[in-house]
Amino acid sequence: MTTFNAHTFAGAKRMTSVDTTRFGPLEIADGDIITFTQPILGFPERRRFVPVPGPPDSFLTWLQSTEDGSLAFLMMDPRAVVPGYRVNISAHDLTELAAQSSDELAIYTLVASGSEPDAIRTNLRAPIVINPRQRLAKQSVLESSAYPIRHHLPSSAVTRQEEATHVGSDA
Amino acid sequence: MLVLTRRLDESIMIGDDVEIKVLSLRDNQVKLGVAAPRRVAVHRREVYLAIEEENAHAAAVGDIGGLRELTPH
Repeated sequence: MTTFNAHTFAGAKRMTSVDTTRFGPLEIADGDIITFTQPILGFPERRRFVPVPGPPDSFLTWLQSTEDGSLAFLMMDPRAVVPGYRVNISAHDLTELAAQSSDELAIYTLVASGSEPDAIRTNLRAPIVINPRQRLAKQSVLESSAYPIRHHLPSSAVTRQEEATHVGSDA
Repeated sequence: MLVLTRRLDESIMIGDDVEIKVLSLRDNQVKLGVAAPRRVAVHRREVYLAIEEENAHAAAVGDIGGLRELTPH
C-alpha cells in the first residue's frame, strides 16, 4: 500500500481543459490523468479521470472524469473506517496495472450518500485500485469476499470522528 | 437466447477464447469453470448489477455537506 498524492498538478507539458460541474473549469496536465484499464462498472465510456483533493484534512479524494465534466466519484481511504481492510491483489490485476507488487498500489473505495447523514456508505466489495506511478487504475470486484457493497458509515463517523474506530460491517 | 444442453465435463466456447465448462452438478447447483482472456471481466450477474447500481449512486454524490466532517481518526 502506498499513499497516493492527489495534489500533483505540476510538471507536465500538455494540458487538457475540462469544464466540471463540481469544480468549475480545470486545467489538467496529461501526466496527471489516470486511465482505467477496466471501466468503473456502469460507466463503460469513461476511462480517464483525474484526482481532485477532497476537503482539507479529510480522507476523501474526488475522481473527476476528464471526458464528462458532470461525472465525478468521491473516494475514501477505507482503512479510515475499517482499519483491517485488506484486498488480495491478483497476479492478473498486478499485470494489468503494470505493478510488480501490491505495495505500489493505492486502494480507495467509492462513497455514496443519501439525504440523511447515516445514509453515507462506501463500497468495500469493489475498491478502486490505482497504480499512481503508471497512472493506471481499475475497479476490482472482490468475487470471494464478505466485504459489503454498502458499508454504512454511522453518523458518529460523520459527527464525532473519535468513534469511527467502532464501525462494523453490515454485510 | 441460445440454449445448449451440456453434460458434466463438457463445455461451450464463446468466440475463440472464452470457454465455459460444467465442473460439477449437485442438487440445484451447477459449478462452472470459465477460461477467458484477462481483458474479459467475469462476474456473478447479481454482484455485477449491485455494484453497477451502487456506482450510479456514488456518481450522484453532489453536495458533500455531511461528508465534510469525515476526517481521519
